Amino acid sequence: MWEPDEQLVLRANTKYKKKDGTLFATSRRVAWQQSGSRQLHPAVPYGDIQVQMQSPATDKNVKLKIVTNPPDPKSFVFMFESSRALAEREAIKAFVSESMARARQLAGDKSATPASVATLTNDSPVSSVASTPAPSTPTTTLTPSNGATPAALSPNLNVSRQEEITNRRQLLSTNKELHTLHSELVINGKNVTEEEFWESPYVQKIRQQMKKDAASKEGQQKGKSSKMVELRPGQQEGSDVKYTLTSQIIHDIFAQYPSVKRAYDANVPDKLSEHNFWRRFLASEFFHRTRTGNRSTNAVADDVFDKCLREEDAENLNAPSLAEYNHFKKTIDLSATAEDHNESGNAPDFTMRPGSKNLPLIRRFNRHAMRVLEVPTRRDAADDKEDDVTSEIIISDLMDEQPFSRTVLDIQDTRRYFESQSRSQDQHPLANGNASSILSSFSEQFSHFEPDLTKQLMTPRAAVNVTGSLTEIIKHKNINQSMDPDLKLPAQVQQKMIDYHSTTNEILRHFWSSFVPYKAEKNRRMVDSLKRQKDKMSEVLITANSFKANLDAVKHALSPVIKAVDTALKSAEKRPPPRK
Amino acid sequence: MLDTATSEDDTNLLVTIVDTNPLAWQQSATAKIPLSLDDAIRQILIFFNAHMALKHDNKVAAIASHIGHCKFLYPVTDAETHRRQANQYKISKDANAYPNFKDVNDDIIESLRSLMLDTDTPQKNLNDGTSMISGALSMALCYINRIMNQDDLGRIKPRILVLSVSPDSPYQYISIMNAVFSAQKMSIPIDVCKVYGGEVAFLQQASHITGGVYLDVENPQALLQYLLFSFLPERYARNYLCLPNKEQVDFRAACFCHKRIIDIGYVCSVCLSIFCSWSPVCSTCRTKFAFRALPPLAGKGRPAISRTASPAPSAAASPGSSSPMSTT
Repeated sequence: MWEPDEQLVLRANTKYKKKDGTLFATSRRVAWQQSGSRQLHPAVPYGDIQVQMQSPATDKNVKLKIVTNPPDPKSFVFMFESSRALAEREAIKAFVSESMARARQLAGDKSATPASVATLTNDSPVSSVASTPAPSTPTTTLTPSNGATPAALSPNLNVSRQEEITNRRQLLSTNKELHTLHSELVINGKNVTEEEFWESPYVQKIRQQMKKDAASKEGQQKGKSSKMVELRPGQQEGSDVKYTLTSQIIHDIFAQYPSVKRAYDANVPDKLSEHNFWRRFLASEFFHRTRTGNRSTNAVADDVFDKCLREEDAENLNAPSLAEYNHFKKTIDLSATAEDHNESGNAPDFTMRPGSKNLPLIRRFNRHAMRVLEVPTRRDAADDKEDDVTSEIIISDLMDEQPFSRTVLDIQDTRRYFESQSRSQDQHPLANGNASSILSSFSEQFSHFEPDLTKQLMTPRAAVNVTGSLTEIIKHKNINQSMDPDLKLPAQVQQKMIDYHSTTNEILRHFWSSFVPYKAEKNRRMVDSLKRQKDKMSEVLITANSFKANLDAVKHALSPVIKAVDTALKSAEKRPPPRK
Repeated sequence: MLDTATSEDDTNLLVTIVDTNPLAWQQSATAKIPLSLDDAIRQILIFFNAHMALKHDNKVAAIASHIGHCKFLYPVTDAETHRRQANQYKISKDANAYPNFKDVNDDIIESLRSLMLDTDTPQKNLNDGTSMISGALSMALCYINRIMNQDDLGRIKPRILVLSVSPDSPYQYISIMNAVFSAQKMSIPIDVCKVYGGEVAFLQQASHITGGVYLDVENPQALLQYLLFSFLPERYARNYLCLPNKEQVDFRAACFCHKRIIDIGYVCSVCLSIFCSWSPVCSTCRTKFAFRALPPLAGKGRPAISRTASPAPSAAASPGSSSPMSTT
């Protein structure tokens, strides 16, 4: 039978085991229904499909074979019947493989269930009538229609809705809290519908926050990769070696070997075809040397690339002119002081002197490193040189901190705000009519006030009692304080509590939002959900018990939310029943 | 930030605010376990002497929080001292008394006398008959500030002790809280000893915020025992002592509009003013709110922004907010 929130996406008339029927691709599975029957058999959830196979496109019979996962592999072969069999099969195949990938991805997450995918597509009921099977009466829409081919169905879905669905799916996969809430509320609990879930202000707030985070992440610029171009033979067939040059690799080669770029610009396509150019490049001594570091013995002379080789050698032999360093921090210019203070610290530079064997290699690496560090031209590159020096010297961290621009609290009527002490409206426990007589009696009493501090103040018994009770207070306080470490619950219990808490809070939010203004149907659903949620408390306690956690602490921590649920349920009860 | 490190060598300044409200003391004197003001003063004086006896340079100050106004009991102004010395016949001489103690005791007694003789000022400011606790706190803070400015070595460690007998005055909520936050900023603990009368939410919060001790006196006749036990140890000793304190603090606030103490209220998102009922414009900062309030529901438990709704501090143990609706 159809599952309650299942969503029909594609269908096609097929034969299975030589019986006529219809193959459906729904939001959660592939299912086949024999004509005239209400049974869906076979029905395979996407998570269970291992692989799908098809007959060659040239074959007269258009078949699709679906094999399920081990340990109990089964295969089902469907034969496509209609006039557009090929197109139908391709559509179903594409959808199934996409759904399979999604199911696998979710299963890989472990925390996710394939079901969450199903409900995601569920929220498009209005966009296309044909794609909405009413769960209870599927037969009404299942009459084989010759016009409704799979290809015709999918574009019916509103494009913006599709986008929204993809967005939601992505949100759920990236945010754990949302995912838990969603699976608790929509999938497992069926407390709220998909649309209600996304409309909740709380969920929308999370969404906005995530949008902001993503935007700030995208704002960061990615630097160049520090990898050097490495050409490896891709495939070896007999004595032939095959290299694959993608446009990315070519770009990298040009970046790393400007001489090759010059040669390319000079020769292609006038003198050499592109294909030939690269063929000669791979055969050249230049290429061989850059790869192995040694001179090749059997390389053929090549006028184009031998020139490159010479250029490259010349470049590596001489120190780069300082003019090349246009983005050169003067504060870290070691060359300026290279020859100073030899006796006190700066050792003379031997490494970079001409004649060193490794010099070309070091130069090559240095050049590569420079390219990696090269920053794309900044917007403020127009600044003149003078400013460049100051900007290099001044370290912003050492500057005085700018005071925050605070918003001044603007109290409109300060008199009203501060005069509070002089107003009296309410009857106070101390305000009684004979205040003046009490005042005068105190005045009289104290006019000859002469306390005798040597007189006994209290009975020893009273003092002992007081000490006892104070000690008791301290004892109680200490016991409570020493209890604190026990409050640290095992991680699983804590997670369970947090989930329970956030789910209940979200239901409460739905409850109150449907309470005023009153939406009877939703509110009643929420009342049921709250009652169920209260029962679920015992589940949390059982979990806590299995981890030997402090049950009182768990109860205590969750008591505010339980109290809030009670308040909500009480308010719901007090509401007069709707008139019918 | 002030230096909060304490040491054995500190000079301890104890600023005591004595609630001298005659109306409240009248009730206390006729309560089940009675304690009259003069009995209480005797015990308080002994407590002061004990504080001064602990260390040679310990200092004490006393402020009377009276009906509608407040006044320093000790120390008194120079002019007042001269006036008193002229009329010294009034005070008996005692050869056995330690002069330092005797000076403080005599000054406080004399100040109290003149405070009580003046019945006109409280009559004029009778209002609701509550004590001027906010004024007394401000005076105490100003006095402490002056003393600490004079103290170059930074050895003086002040604290405030409030001996309260009268109930909360919601009209003073804003000024009390302002004083409390100033004390918190200066790291001055405010100790509260509730001698008579029910719970006082504002003073509970004061001691909670400033890290002081709050104590309800069950047997007022043994007041001295409470004082010596809980309030004598100076700030340095408190690092090592376990003093009695209140475990649950009443965090309720008074609304700005009607000066009522409320459980659940509305808080302005801009200036944090508290209101007992919803209004479209904040009366303090004139912020206009774009949303509508929920109409009052049948029964209690109005869902609202509940900054003030958590009477039990232990609720903080819950993994998240406990309000039914955290945002509107």
